[in-house]
Amino acid sequence: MSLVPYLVAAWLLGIGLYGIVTSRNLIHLVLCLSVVQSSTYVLLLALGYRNGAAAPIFNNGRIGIPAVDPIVQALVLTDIVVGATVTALLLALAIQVMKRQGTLDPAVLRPMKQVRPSERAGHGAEAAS
Amino acid sequence: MSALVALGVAVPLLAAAVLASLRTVVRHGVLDAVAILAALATLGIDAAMMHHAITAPATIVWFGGWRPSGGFPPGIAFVADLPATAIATLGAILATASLVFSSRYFETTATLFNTLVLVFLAAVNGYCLSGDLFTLFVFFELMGTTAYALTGHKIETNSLEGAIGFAVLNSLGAFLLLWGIGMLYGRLGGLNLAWLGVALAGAHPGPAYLGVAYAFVASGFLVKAAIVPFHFWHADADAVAPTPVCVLISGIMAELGLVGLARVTMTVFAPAFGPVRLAAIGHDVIAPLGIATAIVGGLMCVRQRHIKRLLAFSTIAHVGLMICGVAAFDREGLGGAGLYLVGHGFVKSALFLATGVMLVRRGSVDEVDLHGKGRDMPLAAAVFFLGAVGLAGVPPFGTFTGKSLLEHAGLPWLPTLFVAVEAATAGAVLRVAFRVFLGLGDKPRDDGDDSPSDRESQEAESGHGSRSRGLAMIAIAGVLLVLAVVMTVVPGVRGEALGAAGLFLNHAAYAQALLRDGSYGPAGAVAPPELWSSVWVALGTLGLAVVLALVPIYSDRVLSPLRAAWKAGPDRVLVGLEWVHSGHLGDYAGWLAAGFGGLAAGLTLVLG
Repeated sequence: MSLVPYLVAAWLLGIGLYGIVTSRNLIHLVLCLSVVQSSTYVLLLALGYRNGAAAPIFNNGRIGIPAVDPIVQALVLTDIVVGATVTALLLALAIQVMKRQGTLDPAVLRPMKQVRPSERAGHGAEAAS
Repeated sequence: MSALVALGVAVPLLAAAVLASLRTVVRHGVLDAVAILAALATLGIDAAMMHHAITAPATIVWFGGWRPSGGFPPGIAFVADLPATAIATLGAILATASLVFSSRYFETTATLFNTLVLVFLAAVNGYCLSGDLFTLFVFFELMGTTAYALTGHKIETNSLEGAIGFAVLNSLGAFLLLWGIGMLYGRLGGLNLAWLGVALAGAHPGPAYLGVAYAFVASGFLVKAAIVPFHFWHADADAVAPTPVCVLISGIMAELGLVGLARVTMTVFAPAFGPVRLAAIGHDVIAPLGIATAIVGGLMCVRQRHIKRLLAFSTIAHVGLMICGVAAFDREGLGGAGLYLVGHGFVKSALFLATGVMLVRRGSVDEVDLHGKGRDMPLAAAVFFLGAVGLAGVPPFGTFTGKSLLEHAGLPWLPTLFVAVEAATAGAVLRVAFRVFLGLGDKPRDDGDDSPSDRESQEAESGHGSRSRGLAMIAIAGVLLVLAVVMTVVPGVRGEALGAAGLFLNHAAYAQALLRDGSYGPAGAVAPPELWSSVWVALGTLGLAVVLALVPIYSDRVLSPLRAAWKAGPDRVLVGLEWVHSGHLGDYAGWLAAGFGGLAAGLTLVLG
């Protein structure tokens, strides 16, 4: 059993979290969230893999051959759908924030405060990440 | 009865689909009526299931007929036992209240609001009833996604940022939960809750694996439940969400994080932990988190001027109290926490709805702005005062019923914590009520300490509400308060709660019922402990709350010499605490990561 996929999954989780914590741009932050999600895909698929096994398709009398685990593949597909929904929603919200606030910097955007004009994109150097 | 179990999820989903497809064709009022009918139908289904679960064994449905063979369940099960159906009923009541309120509240057509609330209700039902870990996860995510969309529904500045923070942090929690599911599936090869419990116990895992897997799974639920240090999203989201959505987030969604944690801990992990280690985890890991949550929530609650944010922090404090009850992992703790959850849900929702009425009639939710402006609104005043009494856990409200059981749970410091935190939060609400509805005290100076409430967003929500519109809205709040009382005076409710909690703790019976066609329940009532000592404690809490409410109102006159000492010492701690709640999403994510790491380390140590 190779450790590499699990190390990759752990790395994706860590680097995605780091990206979210230090992000200066909401689009970048949402995509880091996708990276964290990808870590779950890699983890689940690695769990189901068998060396030398075939895809789990059993028509035409192929019963009995070793196959990879189809359950985790179903879990990953469900996860992708959920993730796509949340990412789409977040990106739509980010676009609306940009239209109204003129900036995408989380350090500047706070839910209970108004963004000062000097902090809007184009006025400061930190608008682009 | 088996058909009803599936209908609890299917009816609101179908109604949501119908509403979404007809929304451009049919008149808005008709759409609202259909939504409310669908929610009422779901409420009827949930109530029927709950009634059935009181006297008969829990209904277990295996979808597609995939029953367990040889002890291994290949299919997905729904388990309609008493705690699950009772909490699903609470969700249905609050969703109905939210839909009725919003039909009066929104001035402009709320395009997909009804659809989203119905999908949320379907997800709540599926979440409560699920007997399979991944199905639980899917409904967890569905509940979350609809809540994110509902929070940002007004599509204006603050709501958007609150919704983004809510979505990012809850999604991170969900991904941590998924890592936990992956760890469990990878080791054991199944996803059914009962089966995982049996298999995990049989695998005799080491403390490192158990600790990390439980940390992953628990973190997901703790984020949803807004437990320190995963709680930062909650106050920001509740403060900016439209009022009917706050009812859902604070009244049912955060509490469902707690319910999920309790369910998964008891079915999947408790058999592997064994009673000694389970108690150790409860006392040494979960209870400290609950204490921290209750204290942080209480302190921050008292500091707020923005009424919705104040109520949000009070929810955090009360959920902290509830998780302490769960951490006791005994009958009184779980039963009391369950009753407290329901009572708090009603009371908190009534308070949020009354705040919404203030917003519509007076155009603000800022305590300073509203000073004295509620003098001619007796119904809203009544809801606020009664709600504060309910938050203090005074009879005859449901919170008292839960607290009377929790005082007998195996945690000797719990009653003291309850008194302190309930007095603080009820005192804060009373302070608001005194200032707004009675006009007590001088109008406070604009200290500029707090972030100012956003006028723009609140005005967008409010309008020049007519008196009759306000009347209908406050009536719904009144109905919720009445329900909080009704749940107390129904005979035998404490006994049933204790019985149901005892059954909940019996993971062997649960596994037997699911895997070997046994029967799960009915629990039957258990004689509850006596009530009268709790009454005195509750009245004392209320008295303390009144004192805590009046002190800040009159502090200028009475306490000027102490004010300097206050500012130098304790106030600095509170200012520091507020600074931590910075609103910066990266900071919040950092706390989440640190919290998860600490949880994993702590659990491994306790288990080892």
